[in-house]
Amino acid sequence: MGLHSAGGRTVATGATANISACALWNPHASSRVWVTEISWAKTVATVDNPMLIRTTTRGTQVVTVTPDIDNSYERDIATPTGVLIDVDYSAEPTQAGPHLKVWNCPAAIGSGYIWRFDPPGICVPFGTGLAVGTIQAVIVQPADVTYVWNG
Amino acid sequence: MGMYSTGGRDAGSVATGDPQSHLWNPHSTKRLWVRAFSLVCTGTGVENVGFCRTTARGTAITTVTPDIDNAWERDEPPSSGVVLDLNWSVIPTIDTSRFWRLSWGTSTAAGTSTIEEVFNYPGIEVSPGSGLQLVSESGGISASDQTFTWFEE
Repeated sequence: MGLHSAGGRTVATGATANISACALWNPHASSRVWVTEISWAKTVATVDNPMLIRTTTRGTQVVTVTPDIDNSYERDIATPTGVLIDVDYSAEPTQAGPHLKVWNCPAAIGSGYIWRFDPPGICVPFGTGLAVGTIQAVIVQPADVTYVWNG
Repeated sequence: MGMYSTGGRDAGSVATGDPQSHLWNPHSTKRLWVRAFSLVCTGTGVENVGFCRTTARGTAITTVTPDIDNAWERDEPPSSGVVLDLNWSVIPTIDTSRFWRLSWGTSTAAGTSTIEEVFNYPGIEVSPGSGLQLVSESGGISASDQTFTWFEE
């Protein structure tokens, strides 16, 4: 148990409502994690509409970041739950709304946000995820995403 | 009991006094406390808004109904039955006092007019049968993505 962070670069999604650009996935059978922060910075100067939503299936990922001991703030142990950060999909995760947060970003490279959540943060139960996607039928542009979590 | 958040896109308003998103507590006894509020406009232009209480829900056309997935612990849906209204055929009854008023100049790009308000602990209390909302103070405002974060017993 402790703080960890990891990130990656997403790819452009389809122009479809309620799809995911990335997600933190908790594959553990019994342990929960708590997300305390998510940051997002766009790499393309096109308007998009990121939102935050839970997922109940992982989908089929094309690109995954697998955190290890170097992603631990204490560098004492790799995240015990085996948390993964998926940043591209061939089959979408299953979303479980309503949305936890909705947003839109201007047409500027580097625009984005840092979402911080009061302690203990947003719980991600085992076998579920927390995704950034779009509520609008508009492409989510490629972005650098970072999750910070406890667990 | 615990923290919750939810949001939606308000269609925007056309006239002074028009409401924006409205968090309504329909419970007969339970209170809740709004900890944070965010707004990001999708349009450009001069915006003038206030943040205030409401005493009647009005008649909502579009409503987000939070469930267990909106609980930060994902342990139970909000016991107050709180809802987020985004559009109305009859607008809520708006109190004349304002927690704050804010105007900003002509934004040059969608997504750049942003409010991210985090209220001091424990937050703004929303009594049973009352609400909290953003209202247009002068003319209309553009469509926006709005999120409420709250705590309830």
